[in-house]
Amino acid sequence: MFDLRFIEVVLMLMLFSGVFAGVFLAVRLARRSSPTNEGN
Amino acid sequence: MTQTGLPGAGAIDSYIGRVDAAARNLPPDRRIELLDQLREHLEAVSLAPDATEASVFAAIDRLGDPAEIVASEDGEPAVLALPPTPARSAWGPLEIMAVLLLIVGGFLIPIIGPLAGLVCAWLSPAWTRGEKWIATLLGSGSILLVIGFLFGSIF
Repeated sequence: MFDLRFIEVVLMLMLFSGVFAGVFLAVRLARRSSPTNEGN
Repeated sequence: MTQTGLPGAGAIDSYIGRVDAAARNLPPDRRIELLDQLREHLEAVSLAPDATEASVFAAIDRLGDPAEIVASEDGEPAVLALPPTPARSAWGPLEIMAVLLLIVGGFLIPIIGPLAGLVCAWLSPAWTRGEKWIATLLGSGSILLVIGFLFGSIF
C-alpha cells in the first residue's frame, strides 16, 4: 500500500516529535524546580 | 484556580477566596500581589513530592487568619513574610517516565512509547495544562501531518 520510504519518513517524524515534546517538558520542569525558580 | 488533582487544591482555593474577601479594602495592585504570593507559596507546598492534604492544611494554618494577614499588609510595603517553602524536586516517577518515554520511547516501541509518555505527562500535576497541550501538539504533530497527507492523497 505504502512504499518503504514513506513509512521510514513517517517513523522518523514520529520519533523526532516525541523527542521535541519530551525535551520541552523536561526543560520546563527543570527550570521550575531550579533554586532560582526562573521558569515559573 | 489551583490545578485540580493537587493535594489540598480545594483548601487552597477556599483559603485564597477568604483572603480575597478580607482584602477587598486593599488597593487592587496590592491585593493581587498578596493573593499571588499566597497562592504561589501554597502551590509550592502542594507540589512537593511528599505533599499530602495534611501538609497543605498545616501550611495554611502557619499562614494564619486571612484577616490578620490583610491587617499586617494594610499600610505596610507589600512584602509578605512567608514561612520557608520546603525544598522540593518536581521530578517524581511519573515525570521521569513521561520524559523518558517521550524521548527514547519512540526508539523502543514506535508510536506506543511516545503515546504512553504523553499519558504520563497528562497524569502528572507537575506541568500546567498549557504545557501539556504544547507537548501533545509537538508529539502528535507528525501524526497530524501524516493524516493530512493521507487525506490529501485520497481526495
